[in-house]
Amino acid sequence: MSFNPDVLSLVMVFLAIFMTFCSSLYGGRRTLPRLVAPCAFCLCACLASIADDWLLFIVFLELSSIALVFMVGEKDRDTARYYLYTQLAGGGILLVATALGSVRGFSIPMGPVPEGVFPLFVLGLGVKAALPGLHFWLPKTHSQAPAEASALLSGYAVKMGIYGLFRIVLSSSTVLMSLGALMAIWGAVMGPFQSDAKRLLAYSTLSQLGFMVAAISTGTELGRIAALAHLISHALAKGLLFFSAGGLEKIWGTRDLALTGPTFRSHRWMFFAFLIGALSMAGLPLSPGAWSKGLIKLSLEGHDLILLALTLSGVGTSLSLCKMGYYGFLKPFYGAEKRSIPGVVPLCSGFSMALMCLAILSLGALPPFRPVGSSLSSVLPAMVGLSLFVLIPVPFRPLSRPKDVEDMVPCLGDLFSRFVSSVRKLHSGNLVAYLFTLVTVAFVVLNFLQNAMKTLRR
Amino acid sequence: MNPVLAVVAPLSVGFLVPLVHIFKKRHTGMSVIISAGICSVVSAVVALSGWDGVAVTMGGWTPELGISLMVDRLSGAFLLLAATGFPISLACSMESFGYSPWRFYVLFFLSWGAVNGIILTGDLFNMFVFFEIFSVAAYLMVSYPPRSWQAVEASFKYLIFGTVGAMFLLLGIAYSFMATGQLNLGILSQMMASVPPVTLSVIGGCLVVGLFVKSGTAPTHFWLPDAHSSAQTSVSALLSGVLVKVSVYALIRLSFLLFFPVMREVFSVILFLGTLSVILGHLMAFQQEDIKRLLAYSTVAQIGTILIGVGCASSFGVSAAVYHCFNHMTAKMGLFLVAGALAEDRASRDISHMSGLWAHRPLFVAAFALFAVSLAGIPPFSGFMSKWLLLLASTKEGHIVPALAIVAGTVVSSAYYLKVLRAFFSPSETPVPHRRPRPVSGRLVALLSVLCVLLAAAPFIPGASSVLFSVGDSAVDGASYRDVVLGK
Repeated sequence: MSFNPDVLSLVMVFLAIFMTFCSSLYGGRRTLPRLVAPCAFCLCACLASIADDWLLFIVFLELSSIALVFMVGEKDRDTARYYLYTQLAGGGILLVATALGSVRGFSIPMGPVPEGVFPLFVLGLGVKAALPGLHFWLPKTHSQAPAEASALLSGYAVKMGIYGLFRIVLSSSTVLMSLGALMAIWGAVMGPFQSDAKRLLAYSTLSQLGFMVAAISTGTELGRIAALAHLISHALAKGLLFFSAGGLEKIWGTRDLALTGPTFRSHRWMFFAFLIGALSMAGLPLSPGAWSKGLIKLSLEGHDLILLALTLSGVGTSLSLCKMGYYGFLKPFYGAEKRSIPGVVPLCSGFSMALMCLAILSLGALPPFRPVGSSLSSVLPAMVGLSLFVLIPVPFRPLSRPKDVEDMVPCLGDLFSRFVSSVRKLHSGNLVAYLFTLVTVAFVVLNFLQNAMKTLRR
Repeated sequence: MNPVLAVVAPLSVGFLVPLVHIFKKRHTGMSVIISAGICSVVSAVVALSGWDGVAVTMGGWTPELGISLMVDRLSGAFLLLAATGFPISLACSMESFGYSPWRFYVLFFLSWGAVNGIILTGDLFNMFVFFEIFSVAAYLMVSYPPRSWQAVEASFKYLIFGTVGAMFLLLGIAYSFMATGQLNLGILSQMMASVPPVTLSVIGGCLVVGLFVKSGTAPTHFWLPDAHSSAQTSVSALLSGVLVKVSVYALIRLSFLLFFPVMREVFSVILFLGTLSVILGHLMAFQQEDIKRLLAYSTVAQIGTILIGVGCASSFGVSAAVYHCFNHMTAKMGLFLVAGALAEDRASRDISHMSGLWAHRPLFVAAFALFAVSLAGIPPFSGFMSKWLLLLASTKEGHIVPALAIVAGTVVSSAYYLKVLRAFFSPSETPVPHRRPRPVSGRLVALLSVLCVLLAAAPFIPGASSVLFSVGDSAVDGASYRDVVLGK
């Protein structure tokens, strides 16, 4: 058990420190106990990303999730618990996978895992990185958490799952690639129909994670670099977007895009910050998002279906960002209604957002990874999305939200509690029934052993 | 040191307490404390001196005829567990009962002697006798003081189940005696290979089922939640911390000595019922409103977790199981002590009534959180370490379902412990009615917390981890057991 930082982990460490710094700056002046959770998160996340074996990685990953639980729980305890249980379950699956894979010794060194346990690893990391079907926790948690926690969740915590995928996927994997594409499409389809600003961003996170998964699963050096670039650009942009969604919440007291007002008039600077984040996300040329998306598309050349899916998901991303910008900042949905006096966004939040903007702008302007042409590829879907939003605005009104996997969770919970209460009924206090069970168990055990021994004798 | 002393010391204290009470009434308390210390030291010295295997046969007979007592690493580990758990429970009972109830202390020392006897004996029938002594003492301790009808009912239930379990044990012992004509475990382990398979299966089934009942494995656990929750705090801690572990010890010893070479299917049964206990125990604990019942069901689940390690039928699995026994003892005793103290202060065991206790006794609540987190298996606490070893053990043998059950248990148990902690931390309108000073309980809880933290560090100390793994080796190695007992 040791730590061994390489380039990938150092990038993750820098990102963790930067994101945590920005999010605690955003939160404003804090009492000492409230500073503990972000610092613990940052420390554990850094240690997880430089861990040299899987056990250590999982342990610190769990610890960082637990630190985040405290941050999420500042606002909504139920969501925090929900998040905790999902993360513990995901970490548990990873632990079982690691135990299965470690034939000798106590753990597997960080890196590719034995083939037999690969699916289990993908399942465990899939809970962390919200692969399709396993993403049931993500929209709820991202939307209910305080803005700074959402930014950390979306900007860094889910990326730890992606980081894990970085380590296990070294060769091309079609299944994972299609999962990534599905994820990208799913997030892009669900995003524009959300009315909650942070839920909308959460689905956009889902679709961008799909980009990364698809790029990683090409297994090429270019794909990995592209995924890493997208990881960084998305973390910055999505952090900024979540901060501005948090700003909307502070100003209007709600995240519902139907109820927010013309923020642009009172908080012009915030709109520009949002715009920088949104444009980078949608892929405006010479922004980090454009570079990374271009790289991803470059790395996926030859997989036409996947490329098509990613292009379509670009349309969805652009649509949802247009919706958030339009209803959140420019025009209130219920225009006639008299708006109450807006609240204020504290100065420190402004500083934090400015810092993020600066990072995005400098990353976009400084080193072009590739010829400028590669950053142009996302312009088309973004424009298509914008024109769709302008031409057919009706379906994208912030009125309701479509159903998703997470709506099955209460049903499953119901089933679970029914099962559990039937187990409870067995404990009725009836001594005769208890003794009957005992004798039955004894009979079954004896029978089993006898049969086993009889077959042995034959 | 002669292993007999570890059995004789507590038993003789048990018989001397009434005499002291009659002749030197004033000195009862002091003498109980001193003799408990002596018993504990004697057990520990016996465990350590016999670390590489010591056996004596009583009365100068040969092992075929006499009763052998034998210490090896496995029994040494469990002796140490008993030598830690009993004094802690005794200190807590002295605080809550005072010095006067000499009858309770008689029972207490009898059960201690019997527990040491079960751990040390190398004779099958002798083990049964000690099981009976310890069970009778435990039935009575559950309903002590016999004031509440719940405790009496629980004790009655325990009596019936314990007797049925003992009958199964006796049946298994009788069959094995009929089949081999031997009771000495060392010799029996050699002769088991010559027993006809069907007879062997009956012997194995009876012994295993009897021990399942005694250890409270699902689905024969029905007595356990009642007994553990209705007893007084110190007795609950003792029952959950030490007494159920003794049955686990007997299960490890008998299954590995008698059935490991000839009938591996026994381990499949242990593994299956262990998994079932994990699932059922956690699910039931999840629904409890009574804090002590919750802890009792959690004990069912943890016994299941330990049995998963045993059911792996490997030395590594047994080491992990023994390690988990220690972790469970420290954490569960601590949980029971804290829960008992807080429930008495609140005058209610209902979790929904337990608000405002963080302001009332912050240190107790903090210790509760430590124990709960450790037992739930959150890294880097002790429960996580042993659960990780158990996961490794079970997956190494190719059993995935038990591993998944352990992991799912972590999620469910963190849910129910969180429920309790939420109640503790939530503010309360009504003030806490009682506030008895509890200096002894406080120190015991502090001691247990320190132990809990130390146990978490144990696998990282090179010497300690090799000691732990040698415990498993000694359990699996029937040949060296025979060598020690038969004096080769």
